[in-house]
Amino acid sequence: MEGKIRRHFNEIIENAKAVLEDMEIEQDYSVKRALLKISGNFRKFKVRITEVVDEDKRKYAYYLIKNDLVMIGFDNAPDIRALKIKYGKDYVHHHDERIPHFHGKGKKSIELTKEISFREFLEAVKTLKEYENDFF
Amino acid sequence: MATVTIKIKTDYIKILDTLGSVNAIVEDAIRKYLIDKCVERIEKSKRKIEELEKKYDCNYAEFISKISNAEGLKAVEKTSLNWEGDMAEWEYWGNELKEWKARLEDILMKL
Repeated sequence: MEGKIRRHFNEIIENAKAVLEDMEIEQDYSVKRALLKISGNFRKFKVRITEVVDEDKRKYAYYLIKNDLVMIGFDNAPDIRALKIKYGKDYVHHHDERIPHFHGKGKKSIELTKEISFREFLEAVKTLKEYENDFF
Repeated sequence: MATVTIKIKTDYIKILDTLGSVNAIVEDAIRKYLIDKCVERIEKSKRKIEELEKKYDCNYAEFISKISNAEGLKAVEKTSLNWEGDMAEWEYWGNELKEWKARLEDILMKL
């Protein structure tokens, strides 16, 4: 399993290197799981990446931050706001279910998504870049 | 017990032969290595967990309780905008700590 995860993480690192500056990378590989953390700068934004592969399950958080504000964020944490969208009042019965979702500016909006890859996150960041002056 | 073939330098074998059973010596060396590795991983896991406990001023169970209600979640987001990454990492080191402790106990119990 480790070889497959290493290839997956190496691909993320290579994609990140092509876009980010002042990158810091932390990796840990163990028997059943592996962890990758990347922080770096994209223009005037901070990018914070955490990905865990735990017995073939992916846990990810990809964030673009400006000062103290989330600009965009994709993750699959069991966020109660996302669980409420999916399950309504029954969300309490799913409190530990990982649920892929998107956070908009300032985390004021949230949308359910499919599970996304780091490459897809970068595409979203690049799209934001194109309209940077209009948005900010 | 599994049988594994490994290559050892002839010079080492000659010395090992004078010290006793090569099999027993190799097994003892591997056991010591694994104990060291378990301790190293346990210490690393504890260190990482302590960093997160300090950051959020709570243990993992309390953190989960906080993010399970709107008010607690708001407080957590004041500490970190992207707590979701920390949560994945916290789970990671928690699982690591539990499993490496179990491996160490297993090794120590068998001899």
